[in-house]
Amino acid sequence: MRPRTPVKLMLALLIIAAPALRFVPIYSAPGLLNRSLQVGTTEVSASTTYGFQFDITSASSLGSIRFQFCSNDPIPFNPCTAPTGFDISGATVGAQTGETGFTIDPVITPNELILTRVPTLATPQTVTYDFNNVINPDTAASYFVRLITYASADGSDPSTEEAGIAFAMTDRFDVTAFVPPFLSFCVGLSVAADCSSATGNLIDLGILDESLSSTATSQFAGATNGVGGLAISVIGTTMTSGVNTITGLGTRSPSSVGSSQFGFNLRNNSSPNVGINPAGPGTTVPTGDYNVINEFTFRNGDIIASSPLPTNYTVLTVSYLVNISPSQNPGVYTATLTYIGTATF
Amino acid sequence: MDLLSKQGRSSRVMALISAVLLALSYIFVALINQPNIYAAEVSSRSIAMASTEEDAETDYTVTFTVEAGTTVGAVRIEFCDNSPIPHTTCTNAAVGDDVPQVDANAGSIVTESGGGGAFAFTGASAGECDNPSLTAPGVGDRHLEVLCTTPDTFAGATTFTGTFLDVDNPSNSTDSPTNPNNTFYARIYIYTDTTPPAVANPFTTTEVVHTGGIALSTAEQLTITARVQEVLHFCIGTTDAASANDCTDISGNTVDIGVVDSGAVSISPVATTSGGNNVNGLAMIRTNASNGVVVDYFAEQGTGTNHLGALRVSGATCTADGTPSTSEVDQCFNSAGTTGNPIAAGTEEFGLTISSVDTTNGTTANLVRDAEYAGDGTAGDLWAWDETGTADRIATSTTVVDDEMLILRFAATSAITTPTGTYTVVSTYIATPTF
Repeated sequence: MRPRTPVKLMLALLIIAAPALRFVPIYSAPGLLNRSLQVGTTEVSASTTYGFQFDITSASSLGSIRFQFCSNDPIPFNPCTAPTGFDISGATVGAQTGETGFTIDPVITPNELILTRVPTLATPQTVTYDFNNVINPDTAASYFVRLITYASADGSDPSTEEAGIAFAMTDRFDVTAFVPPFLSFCVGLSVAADCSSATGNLIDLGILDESLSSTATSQFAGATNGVGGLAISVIGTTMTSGVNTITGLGTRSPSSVGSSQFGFNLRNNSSPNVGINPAGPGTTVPTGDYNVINEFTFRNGDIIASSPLPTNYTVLTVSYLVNISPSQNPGVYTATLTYIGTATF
Repeated sequence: MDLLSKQGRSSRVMALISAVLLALSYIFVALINQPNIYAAEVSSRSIAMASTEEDAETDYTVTFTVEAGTTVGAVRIEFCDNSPIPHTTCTNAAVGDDVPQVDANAGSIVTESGGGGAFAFTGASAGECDNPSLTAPGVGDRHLEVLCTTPDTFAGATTFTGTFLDVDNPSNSTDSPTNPNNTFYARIYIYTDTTPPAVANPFTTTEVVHTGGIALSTAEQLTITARVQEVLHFCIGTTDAASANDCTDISGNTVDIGVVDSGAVSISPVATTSGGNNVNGLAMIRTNASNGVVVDYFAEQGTGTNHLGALRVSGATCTADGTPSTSEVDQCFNSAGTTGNPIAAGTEEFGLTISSVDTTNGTTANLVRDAEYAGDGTAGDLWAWDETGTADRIATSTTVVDDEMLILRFAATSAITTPTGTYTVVSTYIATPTF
């Protein structure tokens, strides 16, 4: 009889190693390489799509594929803890490529699904399987899928290949910002295009002459981010001197030399030659009667320009017209006009 | 009568004694003519097998020591399955089965490590069996022979060392088909002549001056398996408490870039004095996926009309003016798009950039930012935002990632006309490893 010392030594080593070896999981048929899971959204509890891709490496009969979702580990055949909130029982099969012809086995649980088909010889290749209507786990954390292929159609035989995938649920991410209300409005004889400056607040028309039209200009500009836009109105009276007045043009009218007229518009006129058309990137435009060339109007409280939406700066030039009749009483005539920019937010 | 009787008995005793002595003399002569089966043993003998795997082609390193005054002309190492005792019958089922195969019938023929003459007797004086060399094994041999050039007598104790290459371990195919743990033996013979006699069984030559036996064994290969389970740790947050170098101390999910106006570009982190919450976005990843990981994001589609994935006022109706939008008067910020571009103050725009990848929490530096999101965090560099709701890639790794953290920075500037309001966009981030 031969000495069996090596055998005894091996047995001794096995006995010593037994406590560790008994925890080695069964993992008999590794495979399914290059595997990934594309989750439609990682939002917890969302209903979404799960797209699997992996390489089948065994050229053998393939009748079923088990997808087991666990929260504890990805190791096939280990006890599986189902992820809380996760539910694949209502899933449907979407696109499938590579090895195809699978349907969902009726035996399905919230965390386990089997794709089944008539067992067919598989070709080593990349396969993809998409599932719709999968309910994500209810907690942001890491989770696992165990993939196991079988020759049988119901996963009842020893596995052919198996592997695991890790995936994660995360919180979503909010970005917030606040845009404050904004209105910029300026009035002057001359204003900068962005209201950075405005000069002058007095117009002297000199001595009025019944045979000549007197003209002058002033400007205003404005911008706002009010969603309802910008409205510019005028408040004031026609030119007065004590109890005497120059007739305000309540009805839009052209210049009539020798008639008592006070009015303005916001356009570049030729008769008389006065004014500049609106300028700038904004959307503010003269309204109604104040937007007609060579015709002039003045009505207290009128909205003379507006933008229906937020507007960048527009410089509007007010073209004043004064005519007097031969019977105009002498005196110093004055009109004080207030322009009001109102934004609607 | 008695006297005669006594004389007769004495003669018979003497004859018997003579016969015994004669027989003993024959036995003595016979004994001194027997082979020297009690030759001295070589000491410190061993054969170190480079591998004990059955049927493996491996190397045997033979070592033994011969005592001073020994004349050595040749060394023979014979393999047997039954016993290590020299001069007894050596048996085996088949060469290569239960004893090693040394010829070229399976794999390579055994050769001498270092080439011819590389073997050595350590401690030998010059001229004492210099350059002993291996004789090429013949077909079917179960032995190896090493020859000196001439028989030499060693003045002192001398140790032989030599490595025989490409020895085929026993396959145990018939001798022990189910158990690779199988013993076999080697016998060492030292000859005084450089031409050892042919192998006989049992071996009977008188030229043997030293012998020795060695036990060897093939052995089961112990396979140790372990599994490293697939890992993906992926978290989104705004604050790293720095109490751990992983996802466990990442918290928060809102980045507030505060009051946005047309005079400047608001870039996270925006100080609380400017209405912000002084944080950036963070996305930390750890995975052992050998094929790497990709990180995508998509803008959640909010409520309202048009540009639902833009930084927008919830429920607002925005202008249907293409993607990304260009309107600066609706309550949807114009998105920076997916090509990456600077943001200019006063020209309404919202974008994201990954200003850096923090690798200080782990041991790798493998995440690479996608080009359009690889800005430096200044307004004049690259910003992008895909408002479509389709996942857009922001970072990629082709191998494992150990707690690398993307620093997500958001920037916005309003136009003069950008309507007032509280603007929000929600985004979801997805890490997809390939194992």
